[in-house]
Amino acid sequence: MGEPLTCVGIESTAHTFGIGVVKHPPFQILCDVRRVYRPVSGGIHPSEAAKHHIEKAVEALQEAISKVDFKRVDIVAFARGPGLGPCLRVGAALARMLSLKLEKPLVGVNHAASHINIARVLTRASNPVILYVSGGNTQVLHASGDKYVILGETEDIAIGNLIDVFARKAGLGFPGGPKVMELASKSNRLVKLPYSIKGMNVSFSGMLTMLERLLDKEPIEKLCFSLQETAFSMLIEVSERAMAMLGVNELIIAGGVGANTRLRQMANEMCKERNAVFKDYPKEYYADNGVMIAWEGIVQYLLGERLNIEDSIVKPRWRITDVKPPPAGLYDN
Amino acid sequence: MLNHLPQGCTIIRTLYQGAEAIVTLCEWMDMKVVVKTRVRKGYRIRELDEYIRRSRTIREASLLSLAKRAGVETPFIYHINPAEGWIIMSYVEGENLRNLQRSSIFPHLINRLGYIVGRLHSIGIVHGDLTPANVIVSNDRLTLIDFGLGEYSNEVEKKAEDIYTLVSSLSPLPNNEALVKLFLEGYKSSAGESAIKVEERIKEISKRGRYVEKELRH
Repeated sequence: MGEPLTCVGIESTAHTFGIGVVKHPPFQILCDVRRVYRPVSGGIHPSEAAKHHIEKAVEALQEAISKVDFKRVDIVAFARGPGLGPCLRVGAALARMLSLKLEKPLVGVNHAASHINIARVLTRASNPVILYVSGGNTQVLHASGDKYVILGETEDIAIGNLIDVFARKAGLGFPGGPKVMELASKSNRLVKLPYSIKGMNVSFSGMLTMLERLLDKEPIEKLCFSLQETAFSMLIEVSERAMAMLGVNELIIAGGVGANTRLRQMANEMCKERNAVFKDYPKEYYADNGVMIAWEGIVQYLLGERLNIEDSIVKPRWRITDVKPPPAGLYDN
Repeated sequence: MLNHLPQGCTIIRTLYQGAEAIVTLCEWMDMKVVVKTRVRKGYRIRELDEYIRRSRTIREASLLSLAKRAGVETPFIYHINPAEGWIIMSYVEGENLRNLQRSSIFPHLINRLGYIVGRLHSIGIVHGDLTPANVIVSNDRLTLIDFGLGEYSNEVEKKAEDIYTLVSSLSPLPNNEALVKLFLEGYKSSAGESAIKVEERIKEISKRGRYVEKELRH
């Protein structure tokens, strides 16, 4: 183990403005400040969310400074993408300012990789299949050598998008996840929905169309239950296929939809049946946060990543396949 | 998993234990047969699990039989029980195409596979899980197995998705672009008129993964 590093991480890809501070080794979370934008109606409006982040940035930073001595910070990391441009730029601006003020190196990290690596450090998963599920993403991945391999992904909309759009059309508000989960728990009746798997890819747009058609014909609880059971079964099935194909016996879930209890329960059940391990961690770290950005900042710093301020333009469409996974052995202990 | 075999089957060895099914080499009525059993998945609620296993079993058996009409080699079906999720079929001796990926004849075999998939698509069947692992090579004959995710369709989209699955599975290989080209040459020689549209659609699909990223929320 080398000298301990302290990294501040700033998250602002979508609805959450987060500042987290992490120290390593050994891994330790020093602070976790979050401010979450809630739209008055409809989904996330990018410029409204960015406005929220600008308004909350100063108080969030003050709160972080009250908990951690920023003179001890060695690295400043921010979520450089993928995400909503206007939101990303708020976090990037604050990170550049901190980097200059503290005279510490700047590291731009990938939001998806951050979700994955916070899951891995919290669970010590050394070689997992990763089910990455959020409002904008649905992917089954594996870190193979020095790159992430996407084994399967959605061919149309993301699982979180399916849930959010359905919830909105049903008048449940945003974000839809918690409400859909609560309503689903009140039913055990299944309505047949399209179960669409191709190889290790999934498709949800047909299911959304069908659910919309059934909105005034079936009770909402039954629809929520059917949505969860069908969509999550598809996700767990493709995760299992990936594990079987690679001969991997660990599974982690990363991303906001992982906060759904039923999805994690199914993952656990599947792993038990094949003598594998589903590695779970505290629910609050499935959601977007600054801690994961700080940890990924340390990972990338150790891999040699540094970002000049003048090159630090945000990357709203940054794909994870262009990012390096942590060095082998980092999660072995 | 002792209870996944039909009565009267004596197990010789397990051929493959996949995520979805267990495939066993058995002796049955004095023949060497393959038994494919879709095992119950505890993570799915019973109703959904039974529906999925039953419908996939029936569909697979019927696709295996109908593919022969296009002159595509597939195992013969001897017996099927949808409720229990098993199919008894003939055993095809040979090498799995996945194990031949480093062989010098692999490009030739991929070209042949293209031709065979073209025939299959020409009668409106898509395989649904086209990977080298689902092709058995015996001498110079290719037999397609595992139609578990297959379906009847003449849609350009479904056919393109079918081929895209294969293209994806070839992507880790160093000469993947040449292989895809050979596959498509074989495909176009037998798939009929729709081949051009299918090829265009494949290009479109390959961009869609990125398209998803473009729409990213978080």
